[in-house]
Amino acid sequence: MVAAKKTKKSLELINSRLQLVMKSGKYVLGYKQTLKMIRQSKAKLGILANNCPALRKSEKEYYAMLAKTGVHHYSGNNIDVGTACGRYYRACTLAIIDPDEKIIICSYLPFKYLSYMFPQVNLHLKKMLQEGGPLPGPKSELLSNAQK
Amino acid sequence: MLLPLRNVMLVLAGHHSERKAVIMKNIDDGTSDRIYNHVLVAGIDCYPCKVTRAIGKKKTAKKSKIKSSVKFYHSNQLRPAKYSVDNPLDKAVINKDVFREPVLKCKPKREAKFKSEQRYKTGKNRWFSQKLQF
Repeated sequence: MVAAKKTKKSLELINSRLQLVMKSGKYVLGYKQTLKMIRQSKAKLGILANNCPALRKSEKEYYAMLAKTGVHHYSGNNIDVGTACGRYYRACTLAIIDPDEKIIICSYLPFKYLSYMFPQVNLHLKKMLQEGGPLPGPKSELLSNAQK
Repeated sequence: MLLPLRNVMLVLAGHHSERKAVIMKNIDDGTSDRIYNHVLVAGIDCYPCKVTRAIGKKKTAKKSKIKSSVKFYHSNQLRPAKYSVDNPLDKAVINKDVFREPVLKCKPKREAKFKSEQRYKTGKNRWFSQKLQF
């Protein structure tokens, strides 16, 4: 029960995050285009639907591994991914090219993905954890501090 | 850059499909005559045959020959592999000027062949000289 609730919450997070990315316009939908972006190292994060064919999924993961890009396995099928992007068609793969920093600050993304988009944030957080003590207040503060 | 130089790729399309190749040059966003992102590769056309100790010296020499090819491919027609290759092929010899006339291709092919055979005989980059098994 608890696990189901947790996944629902993270799904909502991803969805709200995707909505913001759609507004900013720096994304690419569809298998061919996402591969192109990953090949040119422009993609910051790749998202795969859960009913993506296994060959395509592993191919995308391999490309992302070589490019050192993150891959997120969306907990929903291609219809859900398309809906989350506000489209009336299906999309198995999606690549986020250039996340607008202001948009990220507003949303409460899991840190796992923030670290792919902003590697300096991850380092900053690691440093803080090493120094000990709890992480300070809202995540937006952290980010703005990291960017300084 | 996802496709750095000297990375090995698998060619998927065309006459040289299921062969391995080394990236010589990666051209994103294309040029005027090729408007897509393409890659210049130097690859293996015919792999060396299997060689054992029982086979005599003359036969092993014959079986260890590599036939090479130099070609442009669309990036879609290649799959990158995690391997890369040590001794670099001479970029001055293998470049896009070579494709103006078929006669000019002889020298870069020979260069690619020579370097590939060297690699095979010294035992470096084993994966590159092996036929793709499937």
